[in-house]
Amino acid sequence: MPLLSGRFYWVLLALFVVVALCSTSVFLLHRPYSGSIRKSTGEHIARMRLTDAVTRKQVTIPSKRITFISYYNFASPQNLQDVSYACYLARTAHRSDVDFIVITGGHIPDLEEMRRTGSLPFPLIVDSSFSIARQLTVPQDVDRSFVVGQDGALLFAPANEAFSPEDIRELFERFTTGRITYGSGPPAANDLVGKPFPNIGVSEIHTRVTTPLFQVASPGQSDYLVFTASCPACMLEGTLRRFKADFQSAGTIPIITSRVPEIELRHMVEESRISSPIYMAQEEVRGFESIYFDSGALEASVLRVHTNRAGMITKVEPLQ
Amino acid sequence: MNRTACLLILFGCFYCAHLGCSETAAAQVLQLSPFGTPVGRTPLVAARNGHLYLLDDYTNRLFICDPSGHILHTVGSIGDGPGQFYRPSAMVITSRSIVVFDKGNRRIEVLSLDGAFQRDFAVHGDIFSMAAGDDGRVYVNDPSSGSLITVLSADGKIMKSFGALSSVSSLYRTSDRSRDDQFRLQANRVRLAVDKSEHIYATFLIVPVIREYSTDGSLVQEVAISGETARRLADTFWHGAKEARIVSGVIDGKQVPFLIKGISVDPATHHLLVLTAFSTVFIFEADCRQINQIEVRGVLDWQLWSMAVEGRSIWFVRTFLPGSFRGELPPT
Repeated sequence: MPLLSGRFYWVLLALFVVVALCSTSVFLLHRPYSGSIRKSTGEHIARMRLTDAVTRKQVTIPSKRITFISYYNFASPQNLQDVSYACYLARTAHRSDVDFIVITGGHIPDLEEMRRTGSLPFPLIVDSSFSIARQLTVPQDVDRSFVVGQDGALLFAPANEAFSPEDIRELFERFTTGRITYGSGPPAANDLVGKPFPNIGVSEIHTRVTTPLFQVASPGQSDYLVFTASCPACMLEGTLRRFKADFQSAGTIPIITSRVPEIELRHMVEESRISSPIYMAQEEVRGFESIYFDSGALEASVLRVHTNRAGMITKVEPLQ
Repeated sequence: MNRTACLLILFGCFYCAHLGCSETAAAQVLQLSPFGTPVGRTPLVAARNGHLYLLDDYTNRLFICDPSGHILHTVGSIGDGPGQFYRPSAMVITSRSIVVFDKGNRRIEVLSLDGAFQRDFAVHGDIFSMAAGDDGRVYVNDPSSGSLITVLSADGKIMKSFGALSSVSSLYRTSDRSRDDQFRLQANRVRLAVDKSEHIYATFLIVPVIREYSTDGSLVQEVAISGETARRLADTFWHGAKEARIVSGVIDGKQVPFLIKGISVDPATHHLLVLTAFSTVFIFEADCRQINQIEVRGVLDWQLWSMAVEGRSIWFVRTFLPGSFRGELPPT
């Protein structure tokens, strides 16, 4: 009996050791990056094969193209806006020699839905085990972005900042054309009067139908609410409430900047229970905003724009 | 005292109060001619020898302008190479150089006054603000180091640290210690300036208090900014902004109101100017004696962010919105 008891205890001890080793290795393999060293410009990153969280397609870093990696530990609405902007770049100025990859530490349903509905035309990677964070040296308390060359060299890797939309644009130009074109900035309100309202492409948020603006709003018969806030995520909800209360029944046409993630706009419209058409710009609302500078043209978040029969702007008033 | 004298004194008091002698002399502020380029989200402005320096943290460029805002020279672009910037967050002009805290690249860059790259060095810690002396020394605020101010040599080596860390209750001179732990680091976030005699001035971000240190790091004096606006600033910290719009931001993981926005030493008059919330500029003599308070009016608003002064000319930039503004300080 004592011998059996001894064996029993040995077996128990072995089991305990195995369980301890397993849990330690699981812990080590899933821990966030906590080192003080950050991979910086000029260093190389190891080859990584990653899987798109939605399409399950494999992507490789480095690729044959320059790759922009945005690593968000937990994506916020502002991050969504930045990603959406990168999406805009990819859609309108995409070059075959540039890739975008978004990596998120948290499980973000909105991002996945954006990917699923096609508004993120680049891979979305979910790094729940922090293995990519450890390889890229991204600590849990900061977001980082990288520009990776074809040979895996980091062309630009700030220590503790995620790229803003303007950063993306400037780096995009610097590493593709070799030259950054700075915008001249948004115009003043008075400059808009007497000019034609731009016939931009718009997408109706309920029906998802995309048309030129003038197919839904005849020049000369419409006035518009143009939303170009410098922080769309902060201002949009209040604007929609105001539209519903004061403008919905008047036939005013609301145009929302393309810098708002479409999924976010849709959620807010549904929550506001607005049934009339809401139009999302599919490009820069020319003259009213500077997408490159990620800002509305004027100091107000929303502008009420009156046009005459010839489609010329007659009055621009900020909506308080 | 006869009746006429009493009436005269009484009239004098009413007249003085009517003109606002006890509180504020309003300054007219004029808008600069457009620069042609939007300037940042939290841009920086400095002036020296008739030149204006505008650092755009958004497009990572430094504009060297004439006093009316015409761009003479543009320096920099996004990147981490010599003369490039990424999210610069502090700039100082000395008699010989432009010193930039290139926050996104965790380094300090030194440029000549015409913008040519001279040198850079890496910096560590969590730097909030910076000042520099004509001798090349750089002063940074990083309370996580255990002191208010750390002195770096011209090549970036730590020379010494000084300035005792304080607490909200101690700085506000109150027995209410309920916020001391909550704002342990934030209470020691200061904006810095250095005068011609290399005295260092520190204004606390969330407390209207100025400290003056001598070159060897000893505390010369600690002065509370006085007046009704200073009381409003204190009230805002303790009870929140009721009606006034106050720019706030996350510092050390906590949302704090930016009560004190900037401090500058006028290279011409050696006056010390402190820009606070409520669009107010306090003017001090070099010995920290408060001599004037100016309410900035006109095109400017609560978004005033950074200030530069030279002689009677004063320039401002705003946060969140492009545009730069110039005014003339009233005689003191």
